[in-house]
Amino acid sequence: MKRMICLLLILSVLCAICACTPQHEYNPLDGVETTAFIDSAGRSVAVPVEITRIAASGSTAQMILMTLCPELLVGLASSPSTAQRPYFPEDMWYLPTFGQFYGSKANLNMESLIDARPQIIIDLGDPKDSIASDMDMIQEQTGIPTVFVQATLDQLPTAYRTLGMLLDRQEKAEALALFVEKTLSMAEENRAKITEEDRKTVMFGTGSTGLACNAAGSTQADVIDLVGGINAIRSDEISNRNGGTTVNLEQVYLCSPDVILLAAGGPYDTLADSEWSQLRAVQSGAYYEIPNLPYSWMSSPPSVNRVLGIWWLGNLLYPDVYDYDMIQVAQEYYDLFWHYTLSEEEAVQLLSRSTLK
Amino acid sequence: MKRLILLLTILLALAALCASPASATGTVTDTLTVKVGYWGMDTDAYVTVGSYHWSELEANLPLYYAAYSFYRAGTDGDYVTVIDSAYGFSIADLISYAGIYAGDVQSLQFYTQDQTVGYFTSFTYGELFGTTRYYFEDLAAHIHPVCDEEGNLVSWDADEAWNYCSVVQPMLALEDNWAQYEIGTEHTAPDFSSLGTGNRFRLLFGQSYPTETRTNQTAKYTHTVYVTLSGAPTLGELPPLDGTIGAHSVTAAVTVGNDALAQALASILNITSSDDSVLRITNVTVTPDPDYSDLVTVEIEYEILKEGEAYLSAAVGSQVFASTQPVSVKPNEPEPTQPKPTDEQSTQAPVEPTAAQSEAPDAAPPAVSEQTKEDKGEPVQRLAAQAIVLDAATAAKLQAPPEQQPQEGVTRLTLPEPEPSALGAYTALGAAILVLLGALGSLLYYKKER
Repeated sequence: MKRMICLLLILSVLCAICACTPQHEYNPLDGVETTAFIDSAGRSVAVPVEITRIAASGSTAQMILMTLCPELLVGLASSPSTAQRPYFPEDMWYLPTFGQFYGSKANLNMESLIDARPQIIIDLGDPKDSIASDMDMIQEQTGIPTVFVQATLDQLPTAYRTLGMLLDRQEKAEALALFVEKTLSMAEENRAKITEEDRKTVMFGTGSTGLACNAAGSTQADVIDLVGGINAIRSDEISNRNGGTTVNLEQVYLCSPDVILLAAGGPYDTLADSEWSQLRAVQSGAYYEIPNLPYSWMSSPPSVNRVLGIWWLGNLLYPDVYDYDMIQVAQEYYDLFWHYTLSEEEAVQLLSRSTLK
Repeated sequence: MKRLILLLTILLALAALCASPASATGTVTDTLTVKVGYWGMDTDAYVTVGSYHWSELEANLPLYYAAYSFYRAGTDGDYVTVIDSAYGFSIADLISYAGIYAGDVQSLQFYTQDQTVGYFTSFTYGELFGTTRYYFEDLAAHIHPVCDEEGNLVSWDADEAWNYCSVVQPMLALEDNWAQYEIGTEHTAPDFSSLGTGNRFRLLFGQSYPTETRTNQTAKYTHTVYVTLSGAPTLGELPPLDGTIGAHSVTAAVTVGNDALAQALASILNITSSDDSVLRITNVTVTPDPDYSDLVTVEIEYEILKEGEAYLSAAVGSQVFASTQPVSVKPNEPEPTQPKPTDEQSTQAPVEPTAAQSEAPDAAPPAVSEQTKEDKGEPVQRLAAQAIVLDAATAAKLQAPPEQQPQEGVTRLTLPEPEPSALGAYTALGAAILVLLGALGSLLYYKKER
């Protein structure tokens, strides 16, 4: 009897374990030449030597990969919105959507991802504490090689070069890396030219009220610091979520920023006729709306879009220091990063509520 | 030994805990499916009208921008308002696009990617379309706390909000932007410049009054809409059953309120005999009418086997929508003969309505027009009898011999092949039985030891 019971239990355990084991019908490494790739988390991952189908782990990674190799993407974190579509190739509009692995909107649909049969899943961005185990988990559950490449703003040139080698896009990657390096060194030099007393305080408000702020320390607002500004909104708790620090108008009056930046969809049109009207920045006309196509130039998500944000905000805050034609810079950036020919009229339209106000 | 059993049991429990699907279900969806069925049908039996990629819906349905207000409890127990700025299509247009007549709709169930079991939310047709729904502009600024003399919050006064409202239609949004505001915030407004597709097929329906709290029903990631129709299929004139021993058939026209349901009638129609030993169904053939998309011809082949009484019922799901008059065989009738269908018409006998029929829901009194094939068996007298519900599965088991190829456009009821999901279910069932056996064994063992 005891033996029988034991046998039954062992059988049950085996059945349950079998049920838990992921079954992958699709193996992108089957029958292809592979190589070992050491990712930024220190993991050695076997990847195909020739990669023609890739997937991003989320919006930040997608944005960077779209600048380098949009033709390799087999799906998107989310489809482009109606307003974004003109900036992307039409084929991309209808790619399947997978969602994203990280963030407040984490919703990665692994079934859809597997169905699209990418050869590799690439995560790009800040290194999380759990990054290695997270990548292992995705890889285990999908059966698809999953790698992490650190892509903080200062590491972005390196990230591009790494991706260029991984995806056989060295030439394009080098061009992108050089532009980012040029941007970062330009900002560093110009920032050094700005004296402490000339540094402007900046409020970065989002939402229709403009009071959901990206406070000092948030990666959503790091362009302000990079160009030599001072974030006027301080918070004990730093939130990296877009608009993560909500303030009231009294607090805005107390900190009295030199400049107010509003995300698109904010109260830009009504600011001068509202309770904001007595603010110094409003009275001097130093309030602006951040260009937001195809992505905000400042954040949301904080990715390669910030590169253009550095040029734009530096020129907006300190035109004598950041002295260049913003229309030309925007055209160069759109061509190089979005593969989109931005006309002068379009550039003027994008800048109509800020630089060309 | 006890320790070993204990260890194995713990392992089993742990394994069961981690037996969730290996590929976690995400929430993003590109496709919206519309299914339709009658009230009383199992949701599994609902018929797929169509699965539409978002781009198809975008190309074929009128799209519009609209804002929807919400009033909800915040995380700290206080109330907040929400403005969801959205771009999408009306649900009424979707229903129409799916070929469903809105007047037939009883309710809609919305299934979402983030809920694996059952629907996320459900609305009756009246709730969703029969109630005027509004967007309350700048709602956060138009709701005011009402306090008692001691300053304690008693209620909220939202009368002012009615001065700033506009009627909205229920929408499934392709793009939206959700923004939340504390009560008292001024100048809140829709923001259509930052729409995203991440919540695609988001259900939005507006408020019927300013402080209505139904935020929990605004389903994101909707992947399937189950449309439940009111009423039932309508059976045309059904001839009386032939009461002679032998093989017969009877043909009737069924009108179904939806084209997709009509096309799929074979899979959802349940035809059952009240007594298989007296009246056995040998085959059911469902043939969509070539001219009328909602009309289906159903031919039921059956055998009268022996003395007794029985009748046929037709149902979709659990809803019986028609029953035949019962037939009975007189005592001392000869043993059943082999089926020998002929074209001769059988003799009709007067028909008495039965108590069972009057009890059967929606059972229309069957009209009598003889259309049966009769063999040379004895005629039988039709008697009142208990209601019999024909089971589609029974009918399916008794399908025509395999060598009989169905004609074009004719659907034969067949037992479905086990699907992979069914195999999974069987595997799970097997595992569960093993677990139960193990648990039972353990119980017995410990009991015995004590």
